[in-house]
Amino acid sequence: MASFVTEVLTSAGKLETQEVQGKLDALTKQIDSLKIQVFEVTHNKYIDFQSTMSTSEELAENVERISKEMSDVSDRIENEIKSQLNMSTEVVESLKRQLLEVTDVMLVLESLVQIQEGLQCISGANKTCNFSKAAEAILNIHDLLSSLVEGNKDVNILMALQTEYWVQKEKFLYDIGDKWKELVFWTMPDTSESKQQKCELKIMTGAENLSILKDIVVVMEKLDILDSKMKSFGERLVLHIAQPCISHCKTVLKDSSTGQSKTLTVKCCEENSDKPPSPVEVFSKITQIFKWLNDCFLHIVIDDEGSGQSQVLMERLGGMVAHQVLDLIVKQCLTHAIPTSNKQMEGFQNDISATEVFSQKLTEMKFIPPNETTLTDFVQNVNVLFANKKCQEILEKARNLMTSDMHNSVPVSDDKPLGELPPLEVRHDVPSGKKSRKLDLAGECRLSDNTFKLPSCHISVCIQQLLTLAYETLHEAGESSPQCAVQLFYAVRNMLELFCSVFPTYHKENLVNFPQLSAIFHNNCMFIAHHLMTMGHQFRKKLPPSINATFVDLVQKIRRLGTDTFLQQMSRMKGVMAECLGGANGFASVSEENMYFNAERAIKQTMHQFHHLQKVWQEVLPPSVYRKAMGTLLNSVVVDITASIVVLEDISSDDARQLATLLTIIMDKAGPLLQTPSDDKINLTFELQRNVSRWLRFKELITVLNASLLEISDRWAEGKGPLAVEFTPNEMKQLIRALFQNTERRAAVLAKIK
Amino acid sequence: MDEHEVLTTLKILIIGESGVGKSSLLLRFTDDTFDPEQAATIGVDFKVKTLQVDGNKAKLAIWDTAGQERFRTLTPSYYRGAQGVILVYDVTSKASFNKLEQWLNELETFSTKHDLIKMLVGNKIDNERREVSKEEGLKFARKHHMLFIEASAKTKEGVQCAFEELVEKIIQTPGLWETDTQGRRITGQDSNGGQGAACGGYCSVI
Repeated sequence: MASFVTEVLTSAGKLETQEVQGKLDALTKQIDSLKIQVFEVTHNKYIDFQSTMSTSEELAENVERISKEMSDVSDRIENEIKSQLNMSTEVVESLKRQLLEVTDVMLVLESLVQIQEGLQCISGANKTCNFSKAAEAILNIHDLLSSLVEGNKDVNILMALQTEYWVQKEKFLYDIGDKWKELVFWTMPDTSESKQQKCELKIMTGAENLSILKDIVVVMEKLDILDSKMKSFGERLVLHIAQPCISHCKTVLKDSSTGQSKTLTVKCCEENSDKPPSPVEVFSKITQIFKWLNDCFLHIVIDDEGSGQSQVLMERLGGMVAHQVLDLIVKQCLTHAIPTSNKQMEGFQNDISATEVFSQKLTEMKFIPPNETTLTDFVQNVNVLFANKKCQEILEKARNLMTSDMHNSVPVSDDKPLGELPPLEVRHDVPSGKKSRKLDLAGECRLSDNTFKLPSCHISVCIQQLLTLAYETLHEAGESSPQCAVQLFYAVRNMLELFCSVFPTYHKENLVNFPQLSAIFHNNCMFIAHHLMTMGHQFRKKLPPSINATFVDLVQKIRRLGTDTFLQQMSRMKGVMAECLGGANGFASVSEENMYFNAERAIKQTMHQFHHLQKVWQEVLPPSVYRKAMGTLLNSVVVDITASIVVLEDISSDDARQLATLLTIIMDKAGPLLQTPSDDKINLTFELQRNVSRWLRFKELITVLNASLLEISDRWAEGKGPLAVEFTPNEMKQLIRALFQNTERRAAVLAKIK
Repeated sequence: MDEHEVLTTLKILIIGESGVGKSSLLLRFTDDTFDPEQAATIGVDFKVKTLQVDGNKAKLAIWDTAGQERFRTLTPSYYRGAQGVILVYDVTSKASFNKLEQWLNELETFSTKHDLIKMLVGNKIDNERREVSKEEGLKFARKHHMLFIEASAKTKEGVQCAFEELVEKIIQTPGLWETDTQGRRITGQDSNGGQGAACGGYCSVI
């Protein structure tokens, strides 16, 4: 087998070597062709590129050389031209500065020239009457100077010019003032002469003068001195012309005119009795004055260029003095004209319309602005004013009455304490049926005749007048407008409140020192309270329903005032009595002469006091009050005496006799003390028992002083007799022991007193 | 005169309209006098008289009151403790008789002893013009449990009898006068004894 493989293999190798030989040949051929191609290309390229590069290099060299030359040239140019430029700029600037300086100087000089011209104009203005030009010059100079002076304070000529300007300005103002005074000429009243004062205002109204006046006004406005001028003018106007016209009715107003001037003359004679003029009179005078002024010069228009508004001179004047004038009219004239009664009220309607017309006229003349309503407001408010004035008057009257003498007294009877009063109500509107029914109802349950009846007594005249005033006022309130009625009603209440505080204070000394006056005061209070009970009801229907028309709340207060005052007086009197009785030294040992003398003296003094009180009280106080007051004082006296005697340790029979004598003095005199002149029907014995609460005790004491042991025992009656009612067993025993000697019978009687 | 024999003191009240003769009755009884012009009593009057009834002596403390309205005190304190009342009317005045109810009313209001003895007296029977008959009086008295008698202060008739009968009846009424003295004793003890005695009393009771 190997031979086959070797054969195969040897044949295969032979084959492969044949094939590589063939391929090597092909390749060698291909490489040769390629060698030829590369040579060709390389040869071509090299020869072309070499020549181009050499020309380019030449060109680059040339360019470099030229650019260097150019930069050299430009460097040279720059250096030379710049230095030349700098030099020329400096020259230009210095030239410019010079120019400016020259211009400034020119301006200043020009101003100076203007100032000079202006000053000349000013100084010449008075002669040429060209005030407005001068004024312009002044303003101009002022502007110029103020701009020049700033920053140039060291320039002498400016300071000199400024001074000159001031001088000229002041002179000019003075000249204008002079001219103003010439045109508006016042003749003042002589202050030394008080009566017949005369004041004259003369105004030049010739055409030429008027234009000068206008000129001056405009100039003054420009120079800002118009206001002060008008102010002083206004003040004079008010003081010397308006006020006399408003305050005094005898002021005479006269205006006259010549061709060149108009004159207003005010003559007034001041008299103390001068009564204030009526509003209509005043209005016509004031209107005349302002109309005259308006015609003369106050219509001049002030050109206020700045604000673009043009004002009339009158408006300016009004702004300064209008409120003053209106105030004067209100205070001096309208206030006095306010009516004080309903009748005058109707007349006042005329005044109201006159006031409205007057106010209208002043507004038309522009003296007062359209929204100024002081005057009309005042008169429109007349109801309130009327009531206020009325109330003030009433209270003043009431106060005067309260501070007048209270001791002037007048008796009031119990039926008509105020005398005839005006009928309170006209009854015709009440249907008769209703009225009669009312009477029937009243008949069913009848009140005592004494209800709402004031007992007869004495009251101060002034209090009667006070109450009459109250009635009159309420009556008037019933006929007034509701607003007014309320005010009047409260005025009456205030009046009564005033009574409560003023009367006791003002008359304090009197009320303390004089028993009669405190009694009168007591009556006064009762009298007022008595009327107040019904006063509200009487007038209620006629008063506005909104108010609670009553006075009953004051009744208690006023009554208490009266009773308190009187009770204070009573307690003072009680003190006086006790002091008198103190002199009796407790009524011990009155059988001794000097002791009896002292005791008798004490009792006489006490009774003397009572007699004095009787004198001052019996006619003044109502009888029942009088008896009660005297009874109370008597009671304090008999209580004091009884108390002193009951505690005595020893009463000899002589003592007892003397004591009985002394006490009988009181017993005899006490009854008549209760007597009043008005009623003689009273039983004095009974009045003593009724008003002197311990009177029976006092009487029993006298009985005991006079009695025997048996009589005493009988009157004690085992505690069933009158002695036992008035004395306690201990008191009785003490008395018996003091009066009687220690006997068996005394012991027996004492034993029965338990 | 002998005080020791007096059994008791009785408080007697005389009331009635003005002018019926209260004071005259009293004066006739105590003093045996008569004044046709007797003045009006003011406030009250007081008399004492000792009276013997059935062998017992009684002392009468008699209060004569004012009939007139205007002389009467505001608080009739004299009613206090009264044991007997003499209510007087005038037989010649119907009006005075008609007012009796009112007087009884007042008595009821103010008297402190409710079993007090009441005696109705028709006065002035000496007068011809009689307006109130005896029967009427008697009827009224029965109705109100009162003793009744007609009398004349002027002629003395019935006066003594009126007082005697009243006193007799009071004494016969148990408790009216004894309790009075007893009560008096008790109250006397209280007031005399003071605080200490009161304390002792309490202890014994407990």
